[in-house]
Amino acid sequence: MSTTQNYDAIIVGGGWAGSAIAWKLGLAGKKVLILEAGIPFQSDNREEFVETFFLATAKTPEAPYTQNYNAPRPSVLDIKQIPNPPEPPADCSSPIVSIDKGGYFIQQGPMPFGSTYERLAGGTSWHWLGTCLRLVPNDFKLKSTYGVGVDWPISYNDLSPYYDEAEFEIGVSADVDEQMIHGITFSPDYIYPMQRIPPSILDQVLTEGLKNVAIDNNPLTVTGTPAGRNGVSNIMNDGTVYNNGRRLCQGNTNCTPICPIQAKYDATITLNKALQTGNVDILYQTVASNILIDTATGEVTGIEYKQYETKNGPQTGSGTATGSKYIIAAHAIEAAKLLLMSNSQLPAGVANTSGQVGRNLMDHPVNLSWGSMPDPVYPFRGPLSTSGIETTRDGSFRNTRAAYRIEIGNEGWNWPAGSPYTQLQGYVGEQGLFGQDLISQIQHDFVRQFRLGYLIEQLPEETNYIVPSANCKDNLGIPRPEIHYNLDDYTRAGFQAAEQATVTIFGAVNATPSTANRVATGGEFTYQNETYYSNGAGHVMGTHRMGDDKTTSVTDANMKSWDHDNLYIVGCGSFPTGATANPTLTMMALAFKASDAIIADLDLNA
Amino acid sequence: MRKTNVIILGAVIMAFFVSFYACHNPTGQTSPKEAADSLKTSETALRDSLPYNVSIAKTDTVLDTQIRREFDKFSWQSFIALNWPADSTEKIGEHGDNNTVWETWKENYQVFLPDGSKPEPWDTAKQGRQKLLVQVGKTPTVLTDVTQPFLTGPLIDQNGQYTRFQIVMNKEMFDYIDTNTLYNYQGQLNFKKTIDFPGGDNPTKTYGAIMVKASWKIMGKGDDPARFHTAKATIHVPAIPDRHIKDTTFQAVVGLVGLHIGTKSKTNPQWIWSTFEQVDNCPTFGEPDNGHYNFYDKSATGRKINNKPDEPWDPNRPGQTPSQIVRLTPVFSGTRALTDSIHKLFTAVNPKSVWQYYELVGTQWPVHANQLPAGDPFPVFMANATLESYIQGTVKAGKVVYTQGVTSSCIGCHNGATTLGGRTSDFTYLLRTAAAVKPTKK
Amino acid sequence: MTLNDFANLSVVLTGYPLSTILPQLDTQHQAEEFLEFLQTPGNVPAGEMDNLAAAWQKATASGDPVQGVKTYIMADVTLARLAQNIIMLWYLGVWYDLATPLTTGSFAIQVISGKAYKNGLAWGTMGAHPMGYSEENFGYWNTVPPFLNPQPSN
Ligand SMILES: Cc1cc2nc3c(=O)[nH]c(=O)nc-3n(C[C@H](O)[C@H](O)[C@H](O)COP(=O)(O)OP(=O)(O)OC[C@H]3O[C@@H](n4cnc5c(N)ncnc54)[C@H](O)[C@@H]3O)c2cc1C
Ligand code: SF4
Repeated sequence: MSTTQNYDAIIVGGGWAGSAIAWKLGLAGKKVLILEAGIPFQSDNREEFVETFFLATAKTPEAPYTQNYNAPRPSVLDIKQIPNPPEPPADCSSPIVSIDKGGYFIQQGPMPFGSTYERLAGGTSWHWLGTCLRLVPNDFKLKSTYGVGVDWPISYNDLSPYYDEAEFEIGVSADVDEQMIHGITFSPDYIYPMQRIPPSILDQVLTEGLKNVAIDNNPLTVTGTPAGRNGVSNIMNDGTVYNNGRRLCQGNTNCTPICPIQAKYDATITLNKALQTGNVDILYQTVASNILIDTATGEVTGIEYKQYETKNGPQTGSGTATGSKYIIAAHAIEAAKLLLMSNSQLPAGVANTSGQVGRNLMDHPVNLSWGSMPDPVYPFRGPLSTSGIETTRDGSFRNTRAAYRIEIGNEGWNWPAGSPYTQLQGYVGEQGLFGQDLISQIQHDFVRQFRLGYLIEQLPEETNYIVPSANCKDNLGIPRPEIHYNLDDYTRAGFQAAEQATVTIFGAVNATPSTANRVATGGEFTYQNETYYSNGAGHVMGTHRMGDDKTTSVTDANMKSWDHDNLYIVGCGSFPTGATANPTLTMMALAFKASDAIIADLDLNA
Repeated sequence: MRKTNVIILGAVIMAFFVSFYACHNPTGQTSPKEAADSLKTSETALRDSLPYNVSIAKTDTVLDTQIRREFDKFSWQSFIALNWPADSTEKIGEHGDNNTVWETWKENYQVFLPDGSKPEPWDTAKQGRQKLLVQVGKTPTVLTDVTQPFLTGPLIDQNGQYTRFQIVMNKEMFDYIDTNTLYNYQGQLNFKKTIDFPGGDNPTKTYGAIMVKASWKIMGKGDDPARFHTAKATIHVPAIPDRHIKDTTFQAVVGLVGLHIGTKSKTNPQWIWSTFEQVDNCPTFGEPDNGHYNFYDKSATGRKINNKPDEPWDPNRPGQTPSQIVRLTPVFSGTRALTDSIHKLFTAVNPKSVWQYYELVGTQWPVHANQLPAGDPFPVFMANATLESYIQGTVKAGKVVYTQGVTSSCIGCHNGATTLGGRTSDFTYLLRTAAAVKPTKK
Repeated sequence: MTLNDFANLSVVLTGYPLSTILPQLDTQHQAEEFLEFLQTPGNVPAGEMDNLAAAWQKATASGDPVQGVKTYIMADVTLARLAQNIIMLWYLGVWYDLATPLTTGSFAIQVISGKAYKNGLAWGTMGAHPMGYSEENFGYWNTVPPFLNPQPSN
C-alpha cells in the first residue's frame, strides 16, 4: 500500500469529463492526479485499435478495444432478452469466464440496458459518433413546462457560455443559423470553429422530399448535425483561423467505433493538453475501488485503488490517493457503482443521503427504421451521420409522450441489418449469385439503402437503477454493475410516434420500408399490441443527478455532492432529465462549469 | 554496421546518370535551356543536375526490383543534386561537407506569413542567409506557434535535445502558391479550381513542385560531426505561457538526421516520396543494435519503443528521457545495395565526405496513378524514423504489424491533405498553415 | 491450384477483371494471400482444392468459363460451397465455416487480414470504400461517386 503525495485534486477517470477538468485545473496551476482504470494512451494505440477492428468478425462499437478483465466494459453483443425471472449469471466465481459468456453487466431486466462504454484512457470518446447538439431551453424545465420529469437546477442561459467553450475545445463544425431551433440562442457574434459538414446525397434527397411535411405541427426540416469532426475552418472573432492541427474528415464512415485519422475529436486530445500543463499526473491501470470519508466532517479523505499489469492478470498493487478535492468522472454507471460500493463507512454508500445514487438511469432508446430509396443515395460514404431532423425535439406532445430526434444514417443498413455482410451472404449463399450477376445485384440494392435512427426521450425513474452486484466481481474483485431497467409508457408512446413518423417520411420520399435481417432483437417489447425494438444509444445519464434539493438529488448545480463538501461527481450522470440531444457536449459544458467551481473552492481555501 | 550486400552496379548506374539532366543553377530557378546544355558537358557520375521525372524503361516490368530501382535512382539523383554546393562549382562533399541547394529555397514560414500577407519574391541569396529552426513538431498548426499541438510528440535525442524540423519548397512550388494567393486563408477559400502543382516532365524538360522536409539534431556529446551535414542555426522556442514554456533563442550547430524529398511529376501526380536518413539514427527491428545511435540506447531496456516522450513536452526542460526509436521495416536489400554504390562515389571524391553517412530508406510512388485516388502506392508502408517515428507499425508477438490507412505511408497520409477551404491541396499539408488576412473592421 | 488458375477462376466468380484480381504490377498480392490461405491444411478439407482445380479445367475447356463454372462448380454442392467462400473472401475478406451452408446471418469465423478487409470488392462495387479505410477527400460524400467499380453492366 502506498499513499500518494497530497494533490489539489484527485480525479477518478481519465475519460472525457475527467480530462476536461484536469486540463482546466492544470491551466489554473492546480496540482492534479488522475486515476485511470484502463490502459494508457500511447503512440501505437490507434494503429493497434484499427487493426483489431479490421480483424473483428463482428464490427461492433467495442470491436477495436479488447476486453480488459481488470477494468471490464459491456459489449453490445451481450444484449439479449431477459427471461422472467432473470437467470442468475453464469460462472460468477470465475470472472473471466463469466464476463466472456454473459457479458460484464448483470442485467436484471425486465428489459436489457442496451448501451455500452469503454474503459481506457480517453474513455468512451474513442467510439463516440461526434454529434454535438445543444439542448433546447425547454429541456431544462420539463416539469414546469410539460408537467413531467423534473427541472434542471440551471437554465439554458446559464450553460450557454460553457457550450461556447466546449464547442471550441471539441472543435465543432456547424452553422449557427441552422441551430437556432426551439429557442436556442447564441452569444453575440458567435461562430462555430468550423463550417457545417457537407450533407450527404441521402441528406439532400430527404431535405427535398420532406420540404412540405410536418408532424405535430413541426415541419420536418433537415439540418446539418453539429459534429466534433474537422471541417472547413472559420475565422474566429479574434481574426485567427481555427486550426486544431488534426486532419480534415476523409469520410471513413467509421466514427463509431474508431476514426482512423483522428479527424474526430476524442478525449485523448484534451488529456494530452492536461498533461502538457505540467501540473497533471496520471496513474494508468489504476482502478478506484473505495472512497474514504472522515465521518466527523463528512469530507472525503482519500481514494483507494487497485493496480494490475495485464488485462487478464492478477492485481499487482494498491494504494490511496489523497488531495484536497475529489472528482468522480468514471462514467455514469461506474461512478454510481463506485459511490455505492464505498459502503464500509456509510452503509448507503458515499454521497447517497438522497438515496438517488445509481437511480434514474436513462438512455436515448433508439428506434431504427430502414428501407430502400427509389433512386440511388450512395450510402457507406462520408461520416456515419451528417444531418438530422431536430424540429421534433420539442412540442406540447411532451405532456404525454416522449420527444425524439431523427438521426439520418449514411451507412445503409449497417446498424439495423448488418449490411453489407448479411445481404451478401444471402446473395451468394442463398441465391447463388456470382460474377456479373452479383455485381449488378449489389449495384442495384446497396446504393439505395438508408436508415433513420430515432433517439427517444426517457424520463428519470427510481425503478431504473444500477447497484454493485452482491456476488459477481471482476478480475480485481470489484463488483460488476447490476442493472434494473425498463421503458415506461411515456417512452413507449415515443416509439409508437416514431414508427408513425416513419410511415409519413417513407411515404413522402417513396421509400420502401424493410424489416429484413434485424440484427439486434434484445430490446424487443410490445406497446398497445405492436412490437417494437429498442437499441442503446450509448447515452448513459441520470445516475448522480444534480438538483436544487438535497433530498431528491445527489449534487448541486456545480456538481458538488450535497453530502461531502470536497467531492464532485461529473459526467452524464448529472443530467436530471435526458431530453433528446446526444448528451456529451452538454456534459463537457457542465464539466467546465464544475471546473470553475472547483478552482474557486480551491482558491478560497488557499 | 552498414556493411550489407555490396553489389557493384557500375553499368546500370552510369546509364542512369546520363539520362535527363539539368544543370544546377545557383539562382534556384531551374531553367530547361541550361538543362539541355548540361547534357553535353557533364559526364561524371556525381551530378548537380536535378532530374525532372523518373524514367522507366519499357524493359522494367518487375515492380519490386526493376521499377523500384528506377525510383530509388531518381531519389539518389535528387538527393545529390539538392545537396550539391549551392554557390560553387565544387563537387558534393569535395571538402567533406558543404552548404546545399535546398537550404537556399523558401522556408514555409517565409511563405505563410503570420498576417497572411504576400511573401517576398524568390531570392536564393536572401533565403539561404541564415537558418532559423523553430519547429519541434512535424506538422505545426501555426508556424509561429510551433510547439502546439504536438499531437504525435517530439523526438528527443540521446542528449535530451529535441529534434528540429524545417520545410522548404522550390521556386516552382512557391510560384504556384504565390500567383494563386494560396498563402492566406481568404485566398484558399476563394480558389475554386483544383489545386494542381506543376509536375516535372522529361520530354518538355520542365520541373515540378518539390518540397523538402529536413530534421536536425543539435550536435552534442557522442555525436561525431564528421558524420553529419552540419549547419549553424538559430534555434527559437516561442513562449507558450499556458504550458510554462519560455521564449528562448540560442545558436547551435545542428546535424542533418533526416531528409524527405517530395517531387510532383506528370506521371506521378501523387508525388514521388524519397526519404533519407543519417545512418546512425536507430537500429532496425530484429537486427543487431550495437553501436551509438542518435535515437536509441541499447542499455535502456525499460523504454517502450517508438512511443511519445513523457509529458509535459517542453524543449527547455532539462533531463528529459530520450526517445527510443527502432526502424520497424528494414530497408529493402536492393535499395541498400544502391546506397552502397552511391557511397562509393562520394568517397571517391573525398574519403571524408559526410554524404556517405546518409542512406536512402525508400522511395514511394503511385503504381496505378490514374486508377485509384491514392494511386496504389508502393511500398505500401514507408516511414522515416525521424519524421514518422511513432507510426511505423506495431509490434505484436515479436512481429511487425502494419495497419492499413494508419501506419505511415507518405501518399496515404498526404492524400488527405486539404486547404483551409477544405479542398484537396495536392498532397501538401503546408497550405493548412496559412493565416487569415485580418478583416478590415466594418 | 496454380496462382493463375486461381486468379482466372476468381475473375469469373467475382466478375472483376484480371487487372484487379492479379494486376501485373501488384502491390497487394491479394490473390496470393487468399490462395495460400486456401491451401493451408485445415482451412479447406483435403482434396477439395484439387477438385476445384480440376473442375475449373473442365469449365475453361468448354470455352465459356461462366457457363462452365455453373456446370462444373456451382452444380456440385461441395464445390459450390467452396466457391461461395472464395467469393466472400474477395468481396469482404471474411471466411465462413465450410461445413455449414452460407445463409443470411451466418457468423464469420475470421477476417483473413486487415489487407484483405481493405481490399474487399463489395465496397468499391457500390461506389464506396471499406468502413474505416477511405482514400477519398473531405466532402466527397456530397456528390455522386465518379464511378462504380467496375462500371455497371446496364
Ligand atoms: C457508440 C457510442 C456513440 C456515442 N456517440 C455520441 C455522440 O455522437 N454524441 C454524444 O454527445 N455522445 C455520444 N456518446 C456518449 C459519450 O461517449 C459519453 O457520453 C462520454 O464519453 C461520457 O464521458 P465520461 O467522461 O462520463 O465517461 P468516459 O468517457 O467513458 O470516461 C470514463 C473514464 O473513467 C475510467 N474509469 C471507469 N471506472 C474507473 C475506476 N473505477 N477507476 C478509475 N477510472 C475509471 C474509464 O476507464 C474512462 O477512461 C456515444 C457513446 C457510445 C457508446
Ligand atoms: S467519417 Fe471517417 S474520417 Fe470522418 S470523422 Fe468519421 S471516421 Fe473520421
